[in-house]
Amino acid sequence: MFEFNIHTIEYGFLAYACLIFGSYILQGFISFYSLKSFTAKKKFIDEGRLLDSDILPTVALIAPAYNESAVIVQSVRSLLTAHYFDLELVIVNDGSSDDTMQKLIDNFSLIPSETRPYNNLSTKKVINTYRSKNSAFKNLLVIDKENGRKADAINVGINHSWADYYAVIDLDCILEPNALLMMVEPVLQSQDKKVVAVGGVIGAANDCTIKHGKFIEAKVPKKILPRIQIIEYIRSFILGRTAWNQVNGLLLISGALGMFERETLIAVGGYSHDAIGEDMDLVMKMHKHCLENKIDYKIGYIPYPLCWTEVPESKTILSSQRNRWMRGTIECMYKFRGMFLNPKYGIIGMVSYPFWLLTEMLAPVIEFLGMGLIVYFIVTGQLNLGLALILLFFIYFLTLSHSFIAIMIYYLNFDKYNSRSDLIKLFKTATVEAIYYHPKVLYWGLRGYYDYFFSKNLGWGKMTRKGFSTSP
Amino acid sequence: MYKFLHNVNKSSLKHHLSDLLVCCVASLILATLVYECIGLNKIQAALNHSPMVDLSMITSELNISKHLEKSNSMSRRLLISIGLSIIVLVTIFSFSLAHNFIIKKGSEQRKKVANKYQDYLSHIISESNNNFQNYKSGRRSEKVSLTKDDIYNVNNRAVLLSELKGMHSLIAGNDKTRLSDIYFSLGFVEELSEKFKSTEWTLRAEAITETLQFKVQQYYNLVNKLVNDHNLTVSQNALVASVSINKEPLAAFRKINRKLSQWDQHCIIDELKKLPRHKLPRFDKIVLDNTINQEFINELQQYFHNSENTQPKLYVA
Repeated sequence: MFEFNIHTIEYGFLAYACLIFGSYILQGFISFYSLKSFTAKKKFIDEGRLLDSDILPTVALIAPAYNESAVIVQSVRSLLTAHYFDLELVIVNDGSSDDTMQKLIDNFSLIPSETRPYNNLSTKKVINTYRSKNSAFKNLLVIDKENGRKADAINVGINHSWADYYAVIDLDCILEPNALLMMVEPVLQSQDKKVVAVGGVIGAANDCTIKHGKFIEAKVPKKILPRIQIIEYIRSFILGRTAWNQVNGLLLISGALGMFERETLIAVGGYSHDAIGEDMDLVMKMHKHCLENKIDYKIGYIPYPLCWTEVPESKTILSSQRNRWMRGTIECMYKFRGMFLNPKYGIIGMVSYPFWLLTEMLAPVIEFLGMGLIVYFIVTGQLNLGLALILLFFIYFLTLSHSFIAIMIYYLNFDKYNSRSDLIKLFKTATVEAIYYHPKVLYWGLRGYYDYFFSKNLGWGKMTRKGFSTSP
Repeated sequence: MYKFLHNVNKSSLKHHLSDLLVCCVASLILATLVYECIGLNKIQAALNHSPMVDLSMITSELNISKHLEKSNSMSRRLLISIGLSIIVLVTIFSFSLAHNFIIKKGSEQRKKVANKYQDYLSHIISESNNNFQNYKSGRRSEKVSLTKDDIYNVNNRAVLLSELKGMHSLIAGNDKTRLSDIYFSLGFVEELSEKFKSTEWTLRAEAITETLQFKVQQYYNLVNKLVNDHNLTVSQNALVASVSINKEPLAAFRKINRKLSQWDQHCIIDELKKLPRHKLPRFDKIVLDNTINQEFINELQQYFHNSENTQPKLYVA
C-alpha cells in the first residue's frame, strides 16, 4: 500500500511537470503567432494619427512617489514628455520623509492650488494640492498627502483628476513616447466590448541608455541579477501574458504601468488600501465586477515594450520584492477563492485562476515537496540514479528551451537587445539561471509563505534607486 | 482561443495550424519510434500474452515482485518516450524560430541592398534638382544604376519598392512626382492586382496603401470593394483610403456592413481634415440608409455644418 502511495505521488509530480511544460509550449505557440500578427498589424496602424487629436478619451497619468528624492525631478520631466493630447500628469507625494516634495516645489515652480475632488474613494488626508506657475507645466498636478502606501496614493490621484482612463505608472519608469497612444488604441479599436484596462510589456532599464529622460537604447546589464530578471520579464510578458490576453484571461497588469477605465475603477472602489499585491487585486476585482454584472468587457494588452523600469540589483531588495509578490499572490488567491472553478466566472474561474494557483502560488511548495521526496528516496535507497539524471536533464532542457524561445521571439519581433553580443549574453545567462537563480527564487517564495502566515505588517520593502545612467 | 484563432485570419491560420500539426505529428512519430526501439511494446506484449504471466502466477509473491519490476521498467520507458516527444516538439519549434532568426539575419544583406537603392533613388532625384542633399545629410550620392537582378529578383524588388515608398512619403513637389514615375515605370503597378487578390491580408493592406500613396486610379474601385474585407485591418485601411480617393469622400458608408469603431471615426475625421474644403460632400444626403453609429453621424453633421474652427467631438464616454 505504501509503495502505491509513493508512486502515486511520483506520478502526481510528473503530471504537474507535464502540465507546466505543456502549458509553456502552448503559450509559446500562441505568443509566437499573435506577436507575428501584432507586428504585421502595427505596420498598417499609425498611432501618430492620434498625436494631435482632441477627440481621444481623456487620460490622467498618475505616479505615486514615496522618498524618491534621487529621481523625482528627472522622472517628472520624463513623464511630462509623454505623447498624448492634453495629458494630465498627477504626482502624489505619499508623505515622503525626505525632500521629495521640496524638490518638486523648487524645480517645477509649484504653488498651492485648491483642487476639488471629482471622485470619493476613501483615502488618507490630503495636505495640499499644487499647480505650477510655469505654463510649460500647466498639466502637472502635485498632491501632497499623509503616508498611506501606494494604493492609497493612487486613489488620491484618481479622486483629484477627471479622466476617461487613468494610467498608473511607477515614478521610476521611463515611458516610451507613444506608449499612451498605443495603450488607447485597443480602446478605440474595440467595437462592442468595453475595454476596462490595458497593460503592456515592461522592460528592465538597468544599464540602458537614457538621455534627457528618454529611453534611447536597450542594453543587457553587466550584473547577473538584472540580466536574469530580463529573461524572467521576457518570459512573463512576451510568452505568458501575450498568450493569456488572447483568451481574455489576464489576471495581472503590471503595477509599473497600467491603464484603467474610470467607471469600472470607481465601481470596484479603486485600489484596495490593504492589499499586498494591489495590481493583481485590482484586475481580479475588475474581472469579478464585470462578470457578475454581465458587462461585455475585455482587458487589452500591448505586446510591445511600453515602459522601462529599474529592476533590483541586490539580493536583499530582490528577495524583499519576491517575498511581497508571493504574499500578494497568496492574498489574492484567497480573497477571490470564490472564483475557483466557478463556471459563472468563465475562463477566469475555470482556467486562469486554477492555472495561476498551480503555477504561481503553489509552485514553490510543490517544488519543495519534490525535493523532499528525492531526499526520501536517497535515504531509503529507492532512488534510481539513471532515471533521476534523465529527468533532471529533461527538466533542465525544457527550462532552457522556454527561455531560449522567449528570447528568440523577443529578438524577432522587437528592435531591442538587437546585437549579436546581447543575444549571446542573454543565452548564456539563461543557461545558469536554473542553477544559480531558481533555488533563490524558490527560497524567497517559501519565505513569502512563512511571512504571510506568521509575520505581520511587513509592508512594502524598500527599493533603493540608483537613478538612470545617461549617455554622454 | 476561438477569438484568437478568429483574429489570425483564415489564410495565416491555415498556415499556423499546419505548422502546429506538423510539429505534433513529428513528435508523435518519434515517440512511437522510441516506443518501438526501446521495446516497450514487447514488454507489454509479454505481460499480456506470456504464459508466464497468467493470473494464477501473479497471485504468488514472487510474480507480484516480477510484475512490479516490469511495470516500473515500463513506466520508466514510457516516461522517456513522453520526454523525448516533448523534446522533439520543442526542438522543432525552436528550429522554426531559428528559421525566422536566419531570415532576420538576412536583413543585414537587405540593409546593404537598401542602401544601394537609396543611393540610386537619391541620384535620380538629384539629377533633376539638388534639393535632395538634405535627405541624407553628409552622404554624397554616387552614381548607381540598377541591374537586371535588382529589377527581376523578387527579394530585391521588394526592397526597392519599400525604399521607394519610404522616400516618396518623405518628400513633396516635383521630386515626389518623379518617384511616382519610377514606381509606374518599374512596373510595380502591374503587381498591384495580384496583391489585391492575395489571400494574405498584409498584401491586400499593402495594395491599399500603395494605391493611395501613388494615386493608382485604375484600382480605386478595388479599394472601395475592400471596405468590407473580412480582415479588420484591411477593411479599416480601405475605408480611410476611400475617403481620400473618391469624389464623394463618404460614399463607402453606403456599402460598409460593420459597426464603425472609434478608431475608424477618428481616422475618417483626420482624413477629412486633409481634404480641400470644396471637396466636402453634402453630408445629409449621404448618410441615409446605412448602419453607421448615430452619434458619429451627428458629429459629422456638426463638423460639416459648423465653421472650420469648430472641433468635432466624437468620443462618447
